[in-house]
Amino acid sequence: MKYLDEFRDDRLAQGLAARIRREIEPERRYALMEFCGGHTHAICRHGIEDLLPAEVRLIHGPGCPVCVLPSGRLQAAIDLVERERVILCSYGDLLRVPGAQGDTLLKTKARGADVRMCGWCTRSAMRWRSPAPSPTITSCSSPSASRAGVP
Amino acid sequence: MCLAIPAQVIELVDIEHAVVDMGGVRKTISTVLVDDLQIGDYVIVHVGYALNRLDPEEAAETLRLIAEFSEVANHEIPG
Repeated sequence: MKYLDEFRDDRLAQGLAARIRREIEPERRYALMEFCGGHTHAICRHGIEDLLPAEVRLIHGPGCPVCVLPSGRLQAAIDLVERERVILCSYGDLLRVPGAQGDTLLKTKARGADVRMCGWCTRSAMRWRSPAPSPTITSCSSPSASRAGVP
Repeated sequence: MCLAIPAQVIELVDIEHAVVDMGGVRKTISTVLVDDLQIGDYVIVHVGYALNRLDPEEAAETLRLIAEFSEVANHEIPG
């Protein structure tokens, strides 16, 4: 697609990596931190670390609460909504984040599970709770929310 | 994660909504954050909102800079 493919040109990327290797001063160490989990995913998925010389160290920064949700926890949410009769409410961003086995809540929804996107889990859950005979409502949220006692 | 992706406007639904094409997937999005959208414009979409219009000249300039830094001989800059 236009404006995506041009920015994913592997020849250009290899050329950039070659240029970086040439510019490196061997006695120096370069440490770079990205702060967004989306960047961390892109760096890992596209093998950027392997393209860079040993002198360059990438430090994976904090990420937002969506990004730092452990993939095992996300996978547990996917397993739950597929197996049990539940409505799973989640912030929209999380729907596209892959779980431990590469699956996403969006794909799970496409397969028929009741995954709903919402801006504010509690309010949305309350709205959906009545009057129908309610299945269990659960939400998939950040580790901080987990500590606060949200399921 | 914060994923914003480019999409092309293919239909103006009303003053606040448009249908966009994202590599074959069509989706109705909110256009309240961008003024004077036209069919054919490229926008950056995040959680159902067009955040801004993609500037073709700026994109071309970015690609030109990447190509300039990249050590690829006679590489053609995609348009």
